[in-house]
Amino acid sequence: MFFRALIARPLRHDLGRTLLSLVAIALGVAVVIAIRIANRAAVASFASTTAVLANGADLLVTGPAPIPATLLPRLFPLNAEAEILPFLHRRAYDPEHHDALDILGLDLVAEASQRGIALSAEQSQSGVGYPPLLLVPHDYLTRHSLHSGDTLRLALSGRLHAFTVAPAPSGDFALLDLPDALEAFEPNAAPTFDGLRVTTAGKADALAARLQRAIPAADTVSAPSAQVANQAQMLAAFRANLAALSYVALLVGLFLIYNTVSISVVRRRLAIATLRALGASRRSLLRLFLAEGAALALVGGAGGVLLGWLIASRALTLVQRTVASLYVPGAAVARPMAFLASSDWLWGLGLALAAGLLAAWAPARQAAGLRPATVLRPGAAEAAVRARAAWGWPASLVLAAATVAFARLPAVHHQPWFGFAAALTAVLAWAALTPWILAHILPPLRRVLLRRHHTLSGLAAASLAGALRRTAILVIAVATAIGVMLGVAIMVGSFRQTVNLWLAQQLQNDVFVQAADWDRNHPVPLPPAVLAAATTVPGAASVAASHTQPWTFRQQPITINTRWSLRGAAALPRYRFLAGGPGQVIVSEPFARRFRLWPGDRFTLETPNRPLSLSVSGVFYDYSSDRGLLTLDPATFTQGFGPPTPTELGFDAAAGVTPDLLHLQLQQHLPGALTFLDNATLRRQALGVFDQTFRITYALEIITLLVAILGVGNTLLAVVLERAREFAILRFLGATRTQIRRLLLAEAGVVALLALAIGWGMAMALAYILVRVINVQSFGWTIQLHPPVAFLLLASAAVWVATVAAATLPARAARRHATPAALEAE
Amino acid sequence: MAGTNPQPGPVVRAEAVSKRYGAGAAATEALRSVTLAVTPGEFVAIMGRSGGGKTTLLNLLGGMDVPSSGVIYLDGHNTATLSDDALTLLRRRTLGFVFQAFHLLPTLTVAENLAVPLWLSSSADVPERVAAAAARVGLTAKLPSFPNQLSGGEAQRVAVARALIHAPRLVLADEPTGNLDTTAAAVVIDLLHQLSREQGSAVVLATHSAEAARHADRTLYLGDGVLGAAPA
Repeated sequence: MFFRALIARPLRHDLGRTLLSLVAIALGVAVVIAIRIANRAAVASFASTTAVLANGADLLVTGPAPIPATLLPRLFPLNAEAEILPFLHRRAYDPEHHDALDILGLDLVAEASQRGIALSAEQSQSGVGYPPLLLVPHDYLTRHSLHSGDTLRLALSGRLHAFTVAPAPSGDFALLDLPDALEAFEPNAAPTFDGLRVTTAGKADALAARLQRAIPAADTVSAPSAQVANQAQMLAAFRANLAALSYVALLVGLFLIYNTVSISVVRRRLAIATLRALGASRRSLLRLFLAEGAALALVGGAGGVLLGWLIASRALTLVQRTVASLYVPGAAVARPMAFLASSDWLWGLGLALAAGLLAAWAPARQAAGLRPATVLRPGAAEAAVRARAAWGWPASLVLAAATVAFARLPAVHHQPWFGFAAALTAVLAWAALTPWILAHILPPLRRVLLRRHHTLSGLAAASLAGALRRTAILVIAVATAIGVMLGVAIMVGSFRQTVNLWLAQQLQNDVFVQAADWDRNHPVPLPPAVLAAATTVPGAASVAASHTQPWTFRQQPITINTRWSLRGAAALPRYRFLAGGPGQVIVSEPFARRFRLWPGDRFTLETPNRPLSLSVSGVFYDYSSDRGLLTLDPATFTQGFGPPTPTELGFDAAAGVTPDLLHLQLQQHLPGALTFLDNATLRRQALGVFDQTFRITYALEIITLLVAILGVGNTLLAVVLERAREFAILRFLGATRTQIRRLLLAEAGVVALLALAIGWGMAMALAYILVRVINVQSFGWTIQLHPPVAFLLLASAAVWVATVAAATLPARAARRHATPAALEAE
Repeated sequence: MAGTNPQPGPVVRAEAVSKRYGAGAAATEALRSVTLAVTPGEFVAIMGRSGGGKTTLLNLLGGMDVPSSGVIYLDGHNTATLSDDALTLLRRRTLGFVFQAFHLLPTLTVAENLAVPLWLSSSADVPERVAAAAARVGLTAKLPSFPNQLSGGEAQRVAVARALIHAPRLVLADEPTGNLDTTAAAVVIDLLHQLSREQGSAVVLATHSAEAARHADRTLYLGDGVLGAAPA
């Protein structure tokens, strides 16, 4: 009954404010749920891709490099107990439609019935015909208006191939008969496969052990589910960082629930005191206000889960693009639905409830602790609600010490959990210090402003100083959003500038050439005809060659490359060393950190020819991939892998030849399906991928800031209701309605300025932790600090304007509420 | 637009003023055809039971509310014809208010509470006038205190000083002793009487206390919305 009278009815009465609270909570929960769904769906896309590859197989054999067909005879003894089928999995470039298509090469005839492929009797008996039949996913056909029987030209291993198109039975891959795939992908080399599918009627574990003994050490045999887990692990740091960022909005929401319940307590203190005088226990009042926090959190949380589900598909697109750009190109192929699981409901509501109870605890205790005699005495409304702020700085000092301690602790399983803890304690340290800062800034500010006859801003400062606890929470909420936004902006801006400078060092040539179907996971070797022509292209003074390939080191994926001058004295990438210097074996910083190999350390690398015993001579800064890059000199590479075949070429223009002219010469003289990129375009593309990667980060920050600004509007609206009496007094004393409105706007302006000052402090701490701890532990790279000053100033100005704008509605309400009735209510 | 100079004649005049709240069958008539004129320097007490319409009348006289019918002239200006801003400026210059519940601003010190009317009218010599006002009500020592650090009597003395600090032509005091004990109430009424006399301010005092009304030049009775002479 008390709940209805003291909580539900007022919440219903102030419906606008209640709705604002609910929207703020809902947005906080929505962000968490959207990222949770998107992260899960990104992993599910691996599962979907792997399921199509496996097609019911018990085991998959894959390796860092393609598996040679010559290996198959060694597996013949296992044929009695298992069916072993090779496959190719590559990405082709469609130059006509500027699109990419993932192709699975398999024995179409053998697998026709298993995969639901309808082949004609002729095709089943004598192969799929010429031009080869390519079964293309339905959505690809629709997207490019292709019909069954049309011819599609694709770039494969740097050459154009024609295919006859037919619809594929499933939506993830294009299917190509294995002999045609081998002909298309490996025209000049001995046949190789990207993997083997193994199906057994017996025990898969026992068979896996026997298979592992029969294949090269670098190759792996695993169940499809284990492969999915490995791929998911590769994304772990990215997912963890995204999830951590998503919780910031909830943290800001938590501050706002605190303010909502806190203001409820202040506004209903007379009712609370009356209830206490009539015999209500402290415990029942505590429960009552905890119930308010819980009710707001649960309703807002339920809305948040649904909203999270709605925005998850957009988040999923952004996450998948990033995953496809940086980790697994094929991840963008499978487009799983952003479905809402029952665990999402549990997680969203559980989080909201926990946040609601946590945030409501302090104000509920305050309500339970109110003394009826004090509250009910005449004139008690004039008791200022100044909180003791003395505990602020010692608490802040302890939290700052914890921040330093957490920042020094190492990663746990490559995850910067202590780094996240350091970021949280840094935010909390500033939050704890905020009341103390305000208690020392606002009273003198009030005195100075009033003495100098800045009446409205002086009254605003006085009002903020008088309600220190409420002001502090408001400032903390906005400052947290600002701090995270600016901190991440400093990190991203620094990162971008670091990458920009690194690209200038890496990209030394005027024009770069690679196969049109080149991708990070399959840096396709350039055809011999291209290499032959490359040395005679007119206008090129010199040609740099680079071979890049994926590999496995200590069961983890890495990238190996080697570079040399193909013609003349070509400019090769310049390395900036973190430790050591140039030599036969240099490693990237992520490689050194992940495997703890630094200059002077020796290690053994398994290679197709023989194990190589190598010594690290230098560790260089590198931002191409967090999986780690091992760069060998050509002679060392050849010892292990044989002579390298260029996967990329860099051309330097001869004297008097412009890069544009060289570009044209290359297009004319180099045969095949190739991509030509001049230096500036390549740098622009690389930075484009970078910006794409951080688009979701910006989206999360904007939502967090929106929650905080909604909170400002909401709290000021509550302040208007709470201070209607004060505004009425001012009206009696001769303040105009416009002055009352300006008073509110001035308060919002002061709150925004204080939040910006504290937010900048938080931002500095967070930027340092993000750059020096979380990024190093998550991805293994050191970022040079290059704060984007202009952006930071612009963003700060925008936040100030948005915060003041959020006060417009409450300011209008203040004009309406400043009436004699407000005094009579007292 | 209200002029800046005081107008001759009554400082406030109500002609056949009525005030109704609500509509239809639920309508309540708080004031019925009230006519009243207060001359400069006059001390008028309006007595009556709680709910009799005293506060409503004071709000109307002070231009904080509008009558349902009738006209109010404040310092010679018909309040119905003034814009909200013009009425506010007139009120700022002409009126001082004292309330039963003191209504000091909780986040301001005593000195700042006293200064608010001066700040709002951009007056000069604010610190000196605040110090003088505090001295007149015997609260110099309390200038740096906040309202919650004052007793009820002290808070009401501050309210009286605030109401008179800008030398208004009219002070509207609504049950200023309602929350005070007998001794504190006597001090407050004495102060109100003495200071208004010194400054030549008229006072309209709404009260149900005969003791408070003792100082009045004229005492009226408001019952059931009708204003008349006090019963003998």
